[in-house]
Amino acid sequence: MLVKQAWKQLIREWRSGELRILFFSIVIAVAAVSSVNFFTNRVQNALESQANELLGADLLLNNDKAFPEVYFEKAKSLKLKTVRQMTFPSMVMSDNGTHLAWLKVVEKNYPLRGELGISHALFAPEEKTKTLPASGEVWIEPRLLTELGIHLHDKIAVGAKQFVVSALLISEPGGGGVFKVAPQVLLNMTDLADTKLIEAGSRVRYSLLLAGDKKSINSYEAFAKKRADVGVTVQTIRDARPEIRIALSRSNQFLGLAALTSVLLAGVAIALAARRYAQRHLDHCAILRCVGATQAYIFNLYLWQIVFIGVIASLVGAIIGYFSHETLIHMLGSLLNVKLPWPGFSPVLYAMATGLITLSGFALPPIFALKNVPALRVIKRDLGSVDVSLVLRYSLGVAAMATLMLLQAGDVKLGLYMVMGTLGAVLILIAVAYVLLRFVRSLPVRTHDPVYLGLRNLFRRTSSSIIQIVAFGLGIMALLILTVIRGDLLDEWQATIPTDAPNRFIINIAPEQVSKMQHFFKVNHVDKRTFYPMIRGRLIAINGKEVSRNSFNDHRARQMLSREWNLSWAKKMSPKNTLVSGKWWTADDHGKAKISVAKNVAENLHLKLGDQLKFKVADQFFQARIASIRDVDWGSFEANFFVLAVPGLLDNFPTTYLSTVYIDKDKFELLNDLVKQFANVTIIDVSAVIKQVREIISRVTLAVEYVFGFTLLAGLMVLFAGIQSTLDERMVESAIMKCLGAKRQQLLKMLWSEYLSLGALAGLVAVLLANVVAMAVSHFVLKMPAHWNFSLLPYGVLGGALGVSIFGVLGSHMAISQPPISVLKKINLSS
Amino acid sequence: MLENKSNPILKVNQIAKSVNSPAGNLQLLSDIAFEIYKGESVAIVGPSGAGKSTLLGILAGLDIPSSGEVNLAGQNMFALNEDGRAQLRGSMLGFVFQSFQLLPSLTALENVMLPLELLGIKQPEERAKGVLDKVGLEARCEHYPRQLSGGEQQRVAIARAFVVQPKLLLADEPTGNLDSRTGETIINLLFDMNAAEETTLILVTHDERLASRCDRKFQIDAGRLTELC
Repeated sequence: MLVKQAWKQLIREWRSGELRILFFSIVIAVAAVSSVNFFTNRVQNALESQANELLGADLLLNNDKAFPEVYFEKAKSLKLKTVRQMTFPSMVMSDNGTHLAWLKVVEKNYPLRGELGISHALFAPEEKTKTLPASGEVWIEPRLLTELGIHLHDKIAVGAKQFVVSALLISEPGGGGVFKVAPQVLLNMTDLADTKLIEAGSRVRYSLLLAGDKKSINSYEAFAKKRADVGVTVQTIRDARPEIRIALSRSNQFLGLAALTSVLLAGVAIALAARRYAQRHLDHCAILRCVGATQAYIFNLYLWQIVFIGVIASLVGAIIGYFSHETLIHMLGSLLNVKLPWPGFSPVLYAMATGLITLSGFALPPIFALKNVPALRVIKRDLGSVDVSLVLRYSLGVAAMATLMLLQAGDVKLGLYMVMGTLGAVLILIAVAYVLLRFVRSLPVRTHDPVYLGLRNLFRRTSSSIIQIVAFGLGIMALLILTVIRGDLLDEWQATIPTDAPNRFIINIAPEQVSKMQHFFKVNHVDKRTFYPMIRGRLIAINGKEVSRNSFNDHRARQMLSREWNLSWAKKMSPKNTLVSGKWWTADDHGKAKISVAKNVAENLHLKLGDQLKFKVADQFFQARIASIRDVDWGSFEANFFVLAVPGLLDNFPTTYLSTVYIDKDKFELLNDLVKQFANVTIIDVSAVIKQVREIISRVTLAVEYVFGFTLLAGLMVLFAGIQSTLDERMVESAIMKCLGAKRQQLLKMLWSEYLSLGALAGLVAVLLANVVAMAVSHFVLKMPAHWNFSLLPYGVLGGALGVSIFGVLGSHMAISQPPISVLKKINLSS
Repeated sequence: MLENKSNPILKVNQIAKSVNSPAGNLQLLSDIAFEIYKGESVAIVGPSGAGKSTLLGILAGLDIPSSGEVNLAGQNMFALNEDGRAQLRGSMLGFVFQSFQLLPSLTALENVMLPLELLGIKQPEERAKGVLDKVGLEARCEHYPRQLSGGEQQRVAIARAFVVQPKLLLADEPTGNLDSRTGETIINLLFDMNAAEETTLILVTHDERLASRCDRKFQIDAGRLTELC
């Protein structure tokens, strides 16, 4: 009976419009969160279901040098199939141009798991194949056709050998990696020697793919891990595509937490709407109590209604989330380069949990208070209130948000940081809003002026004004960041790159090629060129103590120790570097065991002046003490090194050279000649990298914008809920003022004054917030000097004032358009 | 009509009510004691602020006295907790208010069915329709309160009050929001139903004409109650 009663009541309340704000707030919150979760769930499912196909094997070993024979012997003894694979960047060339490509050189039987997908014409359907390009043929990604200006079956040069492009590579196990900078070229291992691309010191990643029965794979995994050779990493199907896993976990955390801002705002709207709903049901409960309903009956009646609203709204939100996650896939899916399966059911469950937790946290306190309404209220209307203790009122909401943040962050520490950060930010915002209100209150005004009367309403309802200022402030901030600041920051970032900054990096230059290349540039009038010696070494000990990635907990330190570094030497320090501590060496130091370390390396690995570092270069070792620490501008597009040594120290180690050059647009054909003369070198188009990075940034910001779109909608819900929460009071006030002779115009003026100032204050708060966020992004992400952006003021303050006041006045129109007699009759009837 | 004098349906024993106010302790009711028997109709009259509504609230168990007892059909109401009193009200008391106090979200029929549903009575619809028929609103069952006139709303309230066949009916200014002609009709209906259902009626009113139709009349002034002969 109770459940039926609750359902019937809910239907009636819905018809009367009472529940709409509550309902739509949940829909928005759930849609925001579930769109992100559907997206991450599908990528996650792809990783789970296609694990060995994604790996191309049952086990994959990577190394920065060729695998010793013992690895193959062991595989043979365990009857495992093996395939060798090498990947490295290289220039490819056609008659019409050159382009950087990512070469993947594989042996017969590649891939051991899954299949290659190729096509024999642009846009033709994909065909699965178990074969590889024949000798003298390559398969390339379709976009390389355009980049090189060629057609299928044309020839391209890879290193010193010509190849026929015999098919287009559409898909392959292991994909091409996240955020690929260069298109892939697949060639057969039998052709590698003829290309003459591999020299000592070349940057090549060696991989060993293995497949076989589970037991053998497990014992091979144990064997590889036990050997723990420096540089060898082991990837199992459990951790296939680590780059996608990391990107996924970050995007899930980042987008998920962005989505939670809409949940927070929706929570505020729900709290406001639930309070009003409860307030309007005080009489209802008193009558129920009067005719015999127990407290438990009343509580359960409303609890069931909350459950019904929560479940239905969450389902609607999940459906909207499902459709809107397609947009996220459109924005980010292609960057991830995996085939996405259907989503699982877990996002729907998570959506339901989000809806119900949000609703419970924010709507339960006033609803909870309804059971305490005294029956005597039927006689004395001033009795009974929906106010509960402050602790209950806020603690449930905070607990709900904390639960959701912890769930979304998937990491207690990060979740707690988020909770504390959000709480701190909200408290600061409340303080700022309060100070602003106090300031406006102190302005000299005429007391009979409707404008002042409107302003006075702001002070009179201080707490609801503060809530609205903070909520609108957050919404407007999101809008400002997404529209104005994003463009400004990207433009500024691009402007930091000098126009004549090097636009090509040339790597893998053999020492004997340096003077020839210098000459090549000189005769071709390429004046801006620099050559840097480069050796590849791995840090293996600090002050005599061996170190590996496992010696550090910090993510960046672990990353630094998982790979070889580029080491160099220099007489003088680059003007782009700044000495932080120690002394730069003099000519007298030639050949001494001294090095200079980049500041970020020193910080991440806790290094200080005088520390002794030991490096392994190929099979040789050297050690040196830190003589200086440099601050390096990594965004300068110059060649920078973690470690620079004193000239003479590294003379006996295998060296290649790196050159940075600036080549005018009209001299781009020089690059073709360069590749023809120096087939082994790799030219990296830095401007293409910048373009690629910009593309990624723009897509990621688009996705964030998209998620913040829900935040804006939630902000609007707060606005409507705020208007609704004071509507009854406004109607009575307007009716009484009309009875006392107030004209409609005066009442309208009051409303405009109240909402204009509310919007302007919210806009001001938003400008402050947006600046803080933009400065943080400038400083920490883009590494640019941060500064206040006062140009936001007109957008924020005027936009906020206009937006809020238009919605506010429209929403409150009912308060002044109702004939006073009908409002006053209602008061009389119910008092 | 005056039968069973040994067993009062309502026995009020030395009720007092005081509240703390900024001006100090305020005595709202003092030494209230009376007995009411089955089938009697009683009027409580008095000026505004005399304590009529406070007394009615206590008699209905909606409010708690500072001291004293109220026994309804032999049960001391204030020995029960809030929920116990609610259940007692549901089964033994009926209310008619000046402002009708119908639930706006329920139809006339649903409003009348509500107390029956709360008592867990089977097939409440039939019984509720029967009572609505008696108050002349059989054609208005599916109307919401806002679709009914004041007089019709009060009839629904009367039907709701009588549907549980209460032992005691409490009416607070039942004609206060109605014009005199409608008020007259409502009063006739109230008394007719009271007689037909053999309910005991306590009426709080300003209206002398209405008070004079009752078997007994009490005057309340400054929180003290005296029976008028």
